[in-house]
Amino acid sequence: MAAMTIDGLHWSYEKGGLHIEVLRDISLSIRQGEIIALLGKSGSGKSSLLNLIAGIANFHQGEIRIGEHRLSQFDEEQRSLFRRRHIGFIYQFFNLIPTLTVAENIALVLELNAEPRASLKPKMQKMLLQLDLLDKSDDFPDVLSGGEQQRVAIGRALIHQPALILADEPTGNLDATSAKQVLDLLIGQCRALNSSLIIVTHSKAVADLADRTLSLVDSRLLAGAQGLAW
Amino acid sequence: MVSRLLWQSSLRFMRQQYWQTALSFIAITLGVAIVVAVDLANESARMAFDWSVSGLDGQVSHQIVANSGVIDEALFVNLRKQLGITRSAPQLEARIQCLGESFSLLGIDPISELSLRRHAMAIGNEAMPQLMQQANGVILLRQTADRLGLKTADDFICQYRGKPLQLKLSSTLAQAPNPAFERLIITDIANAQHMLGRRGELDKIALELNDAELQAIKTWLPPRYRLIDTQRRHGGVSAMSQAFHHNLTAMSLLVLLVGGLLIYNAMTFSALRRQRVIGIYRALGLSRRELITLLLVESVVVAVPASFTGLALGLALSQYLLHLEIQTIDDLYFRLTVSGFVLSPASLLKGMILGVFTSVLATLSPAMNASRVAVINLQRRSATEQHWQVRYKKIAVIGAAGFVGLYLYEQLPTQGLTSAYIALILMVFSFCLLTPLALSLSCRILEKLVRPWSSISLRLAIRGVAAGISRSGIAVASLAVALATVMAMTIMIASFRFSVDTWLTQSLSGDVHISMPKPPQDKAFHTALIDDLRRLDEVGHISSRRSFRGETQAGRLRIVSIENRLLEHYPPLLAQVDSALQRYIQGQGIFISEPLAYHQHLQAGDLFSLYTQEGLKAFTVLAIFRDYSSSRGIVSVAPALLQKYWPAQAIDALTLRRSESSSYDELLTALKTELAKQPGDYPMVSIRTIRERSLAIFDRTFAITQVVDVLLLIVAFIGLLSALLALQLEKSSEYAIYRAIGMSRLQLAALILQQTCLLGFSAALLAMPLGFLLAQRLIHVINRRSFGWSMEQVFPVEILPQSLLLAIIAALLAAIYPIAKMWQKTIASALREE
Repeated sequence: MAAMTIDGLHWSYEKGGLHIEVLRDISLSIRQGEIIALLGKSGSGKSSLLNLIAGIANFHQGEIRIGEHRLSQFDEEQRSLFRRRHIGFIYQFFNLIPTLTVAENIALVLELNAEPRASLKPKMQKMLLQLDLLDKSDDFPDVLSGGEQQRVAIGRALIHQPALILADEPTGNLDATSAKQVLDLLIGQCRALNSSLIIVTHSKAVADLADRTLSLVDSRLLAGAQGLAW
Repeated sequence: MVSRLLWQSSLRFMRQQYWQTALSFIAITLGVAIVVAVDLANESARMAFDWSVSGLDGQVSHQIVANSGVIDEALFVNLRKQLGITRSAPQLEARIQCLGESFSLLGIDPISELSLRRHAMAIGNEAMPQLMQQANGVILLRQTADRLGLKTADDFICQYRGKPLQLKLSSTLAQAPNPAFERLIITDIANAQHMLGRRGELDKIALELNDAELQAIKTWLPPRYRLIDTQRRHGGVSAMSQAFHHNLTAMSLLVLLVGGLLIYNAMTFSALRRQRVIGIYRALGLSRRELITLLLVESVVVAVPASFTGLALGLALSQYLLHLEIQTIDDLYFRLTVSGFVLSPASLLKGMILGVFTSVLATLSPAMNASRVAVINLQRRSATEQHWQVRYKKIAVIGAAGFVGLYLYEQLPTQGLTSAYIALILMVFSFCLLTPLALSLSCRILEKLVRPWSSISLRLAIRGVAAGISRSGIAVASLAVALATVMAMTIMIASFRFSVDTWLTQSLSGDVHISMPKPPQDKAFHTALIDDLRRLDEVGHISSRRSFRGETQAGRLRIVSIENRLLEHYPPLLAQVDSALQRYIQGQGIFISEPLAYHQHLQAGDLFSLYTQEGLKAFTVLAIFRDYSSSRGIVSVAPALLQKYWPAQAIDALTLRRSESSSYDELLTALKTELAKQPGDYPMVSIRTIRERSLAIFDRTFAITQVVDVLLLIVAFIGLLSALLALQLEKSSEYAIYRAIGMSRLQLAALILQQTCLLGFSAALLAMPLGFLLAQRLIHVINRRSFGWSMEQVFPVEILPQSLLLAIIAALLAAIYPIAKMWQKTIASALREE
C-alpha cells in the first residue's frame, strides 16, 4: 500500500482580481520509506504542494491520501490533529520556538500528542543522542548555530515517528559542511524509521540521494529533473 | 488540554516581554482598584446613610409630622387619651457640636419608649430612670464616651446654633444596636426641650400601629399634621443620594473600559509579536481551540494576581474616597451620623470577577483573530496587520451605526438614569471603534498635506502610525477616551460652577445675613426689630425670610417665603405663565424649583398640592425657577399666601443691604450695636462668606471625581506607553536598517518622537469632539435625570490647549524608553533580531 497518493490535485488562488493556478492536475504515489526530491524554480509551487500535503493549506479539487486518511474529508481542526500525529515538517528557516529549550522543542510534538511523561523522556534523550545535541539540550535556539538549529528541527519532525516527513529546502540556509551533516542525518533517520520523505531542494547533491526525483514545471508535476540546469 | 511545554513557552514569553506584561498588570490593577474603591466607598456611604436614618427612627411603622415642621406636644397627649394609642413615643432632634465632633441630640420620653421597645432596649431599664432624674443628663455609647475622654457624671459643653449647652454624662451604653448610636446623644425629651429652647414642641411622634389604629388615626389627625409610613420615607431619603453613587460608578466603569482597551492592546501586540511562533504551533498541529485557550489562560495568569493587587489597592483607596463621599453627602443631602467603613465581600468579588472577565474579554478578540488567520499566512510577518487593515473599516461602520443609534436613543425623554449611563458608556465604546479608521484617514490626509515640504523622516513617522493601525488605533482610542472624559468632567464642572455662582449672586442679595434666635419671638417683636434696624442710617434695605419643612404631595419639602424682596432678586425663571410674578405676589399661586418640576413632571400652569393648616390644598404652579440648593426641590410662596395658609411661621432670617453712603464694616458695627440691645443671639454672616462657603462645598463635592480623573489619565497613559513600546520595539529591525544605511541615532530618536507626538496629537484631536459630546450628555441628560438641574453650558477654552499639552506630554514620556532602547542597541544586534 502506498504511503501517500495524490490524485488530480488542483490548487489556485486569486490575487488582485487575477486567477493564479499554482498546481494543475497533480497525481503522485509514494511508497512507504521512499525518498522523493522535489525540484522546481522559485515560485513554481513546491512549498504550496508541501503545505497542501501537510494540511496547512486547503484544497478544493483532487484528493490527497496519507495511509488510509483522505485529507479532503477533514475540517481544519481534524487536519491539525492529523498533522501532529502523522506528519513531520522541516523548514528552511528552522522555525524553532525561541522560548523553549532544545529538548523542549523536540518534545513539544510528543506533548501535543499527549505522550505519557514516562515514555517521553527516554524518546527525547534518544533523539538528542542521535542528533548529537545532548550537551545542548538546555540551550535556547538563539545560541545555536544554523546547523544545530536545523538538527533540532529534524529531531522535532521525527520524534513522533511520522509516516511522512516534509522538508522544505532544509539545507538552503546552511553552509556546505552543515548542509551535508544535516542531510545525512535526515536521510539516515528516515531510512531507519522507514518514513517517507519529500524534500524540496535546488541542490543536485540532495537530489542524487533521493530514490526518485520529481519536478514542478508550469504547474505540473513531471518525473526527473526537468528544466533545471545544475 | 494544552501542553505543559506551551504554558512554559508562554510564561517565558511573558517574562521576556516583562515591560508589556507589567503594563497589562498595572492596567488591570488600576482598573480593579478604582472599581472596588468606588464600590466599597459607595457601599459604606450607603450603609452609613441607612444607619443614620434608621438609627434615629428605630423600628417603628409610622410617624406623625407637622406640615409646618413643629408638632404641638398636646397632640401626643390627645393621641394617647382620645385614641388610646399607647405604642407611641415623642421625639425631638437637633444637630449639636461636642468636643470638636458632630452629634445628634435625641430627646426621647423614657416611659413612652418602653411601649415601643426600641431605644429602651438599647438603653436598658436601669439607665432609663437616670435620664429623667438628672437635669441636662445624657447617655452616650461607652466607646464614644471613652473617645471623648468622658466618665460618668462628667460635665461637658456642646454648641447648638452657636449657643453653649451644658450636658452631664449620666450613663453609658455598653453596646449599640447599630453604628448610628456612635453619633447619638440621648436625653430626656423635657431636657431637650429646655436646652434647645423649644418648650411644648416635638419633631415627630413615633408609632407602632395595627390596622385598626391606623384607620382610626387617619380620620382623627388634624389637617396640619400628617401620618407617614416610615419605611416609605426612608426609601425616599436614600434615593436622594443614588444619583451621586451612579455618577461615581459610571466613572469607575469608564476607567475599566480604558483598562480593557489597554489589555486588548497588550494582547493584540502579544499575538502579533508571536505570530511566527503561533504559525509554527499551528503547523505542528496545535488546533484553533487549543490556541485560543492558551492565549486566554495567559491573560488569566496576568489578570488574577493583578486583580488581587487591585483589590488591595482598592481597599486603601476606598478609605480616602469614602472620606470625600461622606463629606459630599453631608454637604448636599443628609447629615450622616455615622461614617464607618464597610468591607463588603460582594464588592471584592465583583472587582475580582470584573478584572478577570475584562481581561478575558479583551483577549478574546486578538486570540480569535490569531486563530482565524490561515496557518499558511501566519508564517508571513504582516498577515495579521493586513487582516486588521480590512477589518477596521467594518468595525468603523459598526461603531458609527452604534454611535448614531445611541445618540438618538439618548434624546428620548422617557429613558431612566441607568439606561442613560449604559447608553453613554456604549457611545464611548462605539467611538473607540471609529478611532482606527479616523486615525488611518488622518494619516493619509496628513501625509498628502506634508509631502511637498516635509522630510522623509516625518513621512516615515506618519506611515508607521498608519501601518501599525491595530496597535496605534487602540492606543489613540484609549488616550482619547481618557482625555475626553477629563475634558467632559471639566466642562460639566465649569458649567455647573458658573451656573451655581450666577444663581448664588442672584439669589443671595444684600450684604449681611442674620439668623433669628430660637425659640422664635412673636410677630410684634419681629416687626419692632425690623423697624429698629431699618432706622439705622447704615441699613439700605431689609428682606425677611420664613422657611420651614412642609408636607407636600411629593413628600416633605422646604417651603420658603421672602418678604420685601426686590424685583431683581427673584431667582431666574425658566418657565412661567402669563403675569406670573404679579400673580405670585398677589398669592394666586406658587413658584417651584426646577428639580421639583423635573421629578414630579410639572410644568408652569399645573397644580401642586401642599398641606396647609386647612389641610391639603392645590396651588397653581405660576413659574419654575432655577435653584441648586436641593436636588429634591423647594417651593416658594409669596408672603400673602404664607399669611393665609401658614400664619404661624416666624421669620428665621433677615438679609440686609447697606445704604449707599455706608461701608460694609460700618453696617456690621451698627448691626452689632443694635442687636446687642435685643434679647437672644443673632448670628451674623456676610453674604460674601455664604457665597464662598457654598462654592467651597461645591468644589469639595467634585474633589472625588477629580481623583478618579487622575487615575483614569494614569491608566490611559499606560495604554499609550504600552502601544508605543509595542510599535517601536516591533520596528527595531526596521530602525536597524535605517541605521545601517546611515541614519544617525539622533535622527532615529527624532523619528520616534515624531511618531509618538503624532499619536498624542491625534488622540487630543479626537478627544475634543468626544469630550464636548460627553459633556453635553453629562449636563443635559445625566445631571438632568440625576438631580433635575439644568445649567448654562460654558466652554473653558483653556481646556483645548491643556488637553493637547497633556496628550503630547504623555506621548513624549512614552517615547523615552523606546529611544533609550534604540540608543543602546548596536546595529548588528538589531539586524540579527530580524
